[in-house]
Amino acid sequence: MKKIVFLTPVLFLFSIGLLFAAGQGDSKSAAADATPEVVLAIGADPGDLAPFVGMSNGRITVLHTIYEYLFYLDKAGDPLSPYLAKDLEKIDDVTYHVFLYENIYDSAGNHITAEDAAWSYQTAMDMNYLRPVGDIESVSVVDEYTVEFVLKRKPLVGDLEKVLCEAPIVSKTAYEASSDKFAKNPVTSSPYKLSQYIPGSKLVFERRDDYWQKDLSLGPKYNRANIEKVVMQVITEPAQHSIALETKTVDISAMVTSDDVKNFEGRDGYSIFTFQDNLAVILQFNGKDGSPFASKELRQAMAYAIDSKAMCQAVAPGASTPLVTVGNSNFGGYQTKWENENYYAYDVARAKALAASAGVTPGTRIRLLQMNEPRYSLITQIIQYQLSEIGIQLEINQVEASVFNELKYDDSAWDIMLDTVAGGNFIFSPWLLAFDQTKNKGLTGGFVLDNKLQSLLTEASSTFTPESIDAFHKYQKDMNYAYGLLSFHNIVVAVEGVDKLVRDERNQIVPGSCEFSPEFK
Amino acid sequence: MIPVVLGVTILIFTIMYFIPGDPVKLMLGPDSTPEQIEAKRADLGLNDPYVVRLGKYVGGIVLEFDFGDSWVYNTPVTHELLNRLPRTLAIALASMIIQIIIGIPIGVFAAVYQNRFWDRLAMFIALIGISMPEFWVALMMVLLFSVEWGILPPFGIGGIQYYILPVFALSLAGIATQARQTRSSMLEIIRSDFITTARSKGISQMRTLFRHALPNALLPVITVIGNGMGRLLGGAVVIEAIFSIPGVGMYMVGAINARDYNVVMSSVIILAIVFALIMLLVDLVYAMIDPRIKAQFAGKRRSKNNG
Amino acid sequence: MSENDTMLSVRDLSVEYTSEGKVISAVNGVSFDLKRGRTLGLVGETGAGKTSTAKSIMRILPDISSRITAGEIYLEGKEILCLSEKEMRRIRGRKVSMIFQDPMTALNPIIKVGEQIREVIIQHNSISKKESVARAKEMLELVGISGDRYHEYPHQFSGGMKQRVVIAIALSCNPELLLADEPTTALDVTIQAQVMETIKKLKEELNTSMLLITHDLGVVASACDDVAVIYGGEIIEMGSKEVVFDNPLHPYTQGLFEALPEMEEDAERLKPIGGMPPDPSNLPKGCFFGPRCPHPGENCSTERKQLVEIEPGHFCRCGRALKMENSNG
Repeated sequence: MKKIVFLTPVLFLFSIGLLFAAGQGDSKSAAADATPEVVLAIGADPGDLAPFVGMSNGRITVLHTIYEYLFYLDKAGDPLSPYLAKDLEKIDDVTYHVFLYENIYDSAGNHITAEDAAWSYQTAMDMNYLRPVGDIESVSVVDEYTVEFVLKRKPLVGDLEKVLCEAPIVSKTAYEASSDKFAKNPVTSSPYKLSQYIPGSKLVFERRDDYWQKDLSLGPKYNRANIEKVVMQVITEPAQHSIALETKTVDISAMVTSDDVKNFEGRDGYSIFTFQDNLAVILQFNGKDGSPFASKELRQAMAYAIDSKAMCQAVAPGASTPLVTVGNSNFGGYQTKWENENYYAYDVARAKALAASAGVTPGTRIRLLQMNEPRYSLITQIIQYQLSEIGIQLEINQVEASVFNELKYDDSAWDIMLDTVAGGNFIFSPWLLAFDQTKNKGLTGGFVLDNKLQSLLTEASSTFTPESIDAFHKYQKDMNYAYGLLSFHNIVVAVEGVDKLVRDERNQIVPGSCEFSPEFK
Repeated sequence: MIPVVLGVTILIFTIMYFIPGDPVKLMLGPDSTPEQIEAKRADLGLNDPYVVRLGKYVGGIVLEFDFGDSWVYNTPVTHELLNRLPRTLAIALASMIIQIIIGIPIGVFAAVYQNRFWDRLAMFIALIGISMPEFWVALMMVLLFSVEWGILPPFGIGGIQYYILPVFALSLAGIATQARQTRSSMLEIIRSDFITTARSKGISQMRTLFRHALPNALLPVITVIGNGMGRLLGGAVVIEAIFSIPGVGMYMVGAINARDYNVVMSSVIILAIVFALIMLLVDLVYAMIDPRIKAQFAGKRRSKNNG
Repeated sequence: MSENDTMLSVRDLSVEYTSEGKVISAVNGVSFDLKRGRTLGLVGETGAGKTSTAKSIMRILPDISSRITAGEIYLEGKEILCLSEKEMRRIRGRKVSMIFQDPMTALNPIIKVGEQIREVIIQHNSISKKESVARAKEMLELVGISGDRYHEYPHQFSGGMKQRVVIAIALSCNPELLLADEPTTALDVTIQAQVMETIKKLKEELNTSMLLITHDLGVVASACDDVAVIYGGEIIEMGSKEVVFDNPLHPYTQGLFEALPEMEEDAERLKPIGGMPPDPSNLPKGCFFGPRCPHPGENCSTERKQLVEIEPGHFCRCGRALKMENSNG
């Protein structure tokens, strides 16, 4: 008994000691509090920080703070803008020369030359994670600051831009010297240097005094380093994002839930920025032979039965927009005149009639596949209700991400699928994702073979004229293989002092480049 | 203990083998081509037969303490686990200690004042403690201590103050269980004959309780504490998610979603080992307190030596 | 012989238990005296109230469910029911101690036996640890257990030896009054004899007064000076061993003696007392034994009987016995 009495305080002190030790390893030095810093809350851990691996939700938040690229693109349809490279020359249909700036040095002092650039792209191609670099046939060094890219085929609209903006450029020497291939300690030419990375918790960046680009106007809007320290704090629990802002432990967050955003509206000390998200939430119909949605009438019936405006009101009031195509106005080539057309405005009577002529009897069961996420669940519940008005019983199958990615390609697993599409910068990017028949065993994402659709799509994506774009839009709208529902708004809440937000082309906030008022921290 | 851990290893490996969802597709993203996917799969050895993969994995652990690499982080799992394990363990162990220190005296108190005010109050609090879900308690505490009063940080790591809320949120249900268990055990023991003997010696009430009643009452309670460790390790996952503490729990959950096999399996194995060690410790403590159990062990050892 | 010779005097003791809302009258107005140095045997069936009486003397009844509702207890002339708990603790283990019925559960299983003896020694004597250990070992030797077994645990002892440890605990502070609650009931006959020998020997050496609770008339015969028979929580017959054994007056006592088989007789069946003991939560209105009495009178079921001295030093609570005596004498 006495032994227990002794043991307890010993164990207690031991665990306090453990906590201390665990805490100690991660604490910042006291002096750090004096440095001006901005803290951005991110929702997922970036994981592997290496340059040439695949994308993830966490990774895209840090890429533009860590790495630099050959070019950047402000808006779809713009020409490439200089970043690490100052100019581009087209040699022939598939060959391009890229000219680097001559004074690029990374934080370890390595000089970045064409050799490094070619090597970076070659490594990316070998590792085979970044799809756009798969379009490159070969990359080689022409001279000390010139790189030659040879593509596999003549690029369609936007393809070249994608290729040249995709792979970060790092020093070959630095990468090979790294024990873990930059998984935790990347060495780059970016104006910020990663000073601390606690996986699962936070990243701390410190501004370099010796950033190579002395004339910032020659680069993208996110090569600024407007504040000395950038901290990215991983917060996994959605409710904690608003708590973090309330307690001012975090300065900016893009993940405050739509309920919590109301707490910050019109409140002193906080500003709210609203952007439209790239992701378009759509319904893809399974159009294979024998499936109920092989019938065009039924697909159209669905569209008439669903009231997108009401759905926006119910799911994210003031924070979502109904769609008029498979895609939204963020994409280059989107035509605003489509918003004045009738995109299957809510009409129950017509929906019923079409359903009847498609041979649907009341009580027909339809299976819907969705990824399990709270907002998507709200959407599908509303769809379920709206479809019940026309006599269709919707069975909803919610699955997690990895299972969703499996079942998506299984034509016996679903009749309707709630999917999200984005892709690149152009309006045909989501179209390609949903309808390109060259990828999914010769069928669209909805298992349809339609040659006219494919030829219009190829026309639109290769010529990129308003007419070809409109032609595809009209045809797809009529056939309604997929129906655009809505896009959510990205709401970013920031504390007072953050005057302007700067985002990259994936709509991720680049905290170091944001503009701050002088009093900020 | 070794057969248990080995069994867990094989079980979790088999489970991960059969779960649908392709890690490579997740790794490469929605744009990837079938050729890319196949190449990657071959690269990672995912096309080898079950037995070969199992053999490689177990061999790696046993011979080199190498748990493989994480596909998400691209760093060795062993290294990451070593970083994360102290955080999870600290939370779980500290919670366990708090449970014991607070829960047992409450239980003793309630038993001594049975059916009177203090007992009813203690059991009411215990009932509430068990009924409240951990994540709700955690968020409520964050709202109170961080948002309202601003005295404790709402999430993250960096010093001992970051662990105070997580530990208390996690231990609340355990305190309740401990109190109830101690109370019922004490009530039973207090009725025993040897307690009457003790009283007849003229010793004080305090001494009767703490020298005679409590040690005997603690025997079943100790087992419950050991089992409770399992709940704590599991609950640590929820707490880690809420407080954004990068421990083994979060590591494992993220890996499950990403189908990062090595991480999932290694995390489970590590947690199994920890749990087995705790149970071993419980057995040892039991033997320390109860001479009858100690005699059993001694007897077995003696007969082994003789026979 | 003055009152100083009366070690223990119990007057009209009544004890109640409450269980599941029912009130159980375990002891109903028990009175007796125990003179210094003598042994009083308290005989009765299970549930008659013997243990409750003994526990009341030490005031170790379970607090929650039991209550002493009436009576006084005088220990060496001093009333002890009104003493504070603190004062009572000084008496327990030192002036009065108790030997319990079931040796298997009477000892704390996780404490060494030597320590359990030492505990009571140290409680009542301020001596050094070394000395108390020595004394505890002495006590072990006294009850016939080797002192080297001080460091062993109860499970390492047999039933008889455990009981001897209990005796050692009870006697280690030289109590003046020993309450022995069926000390040999749980043991086999050969061990019984040993244990009773030990008790008797110690009692003589230390001149202890003893209240020996038993249901075994043989034990009464060999170890007691006086005997009191208890039934339904009341004393129904009391006197010296000789007078009660020679002339049992109460039908119950007579029944007890008749139940003992004779050595000379050929008996195929034992002769039990018919009927069941009274339900302590619902006692009969008149004489408690009335329902089972072979010779019930007219007012036996309506009138409570008093304990009356039928012959010198021989008390009985029976109307018929009184009548018979009166008609004789």
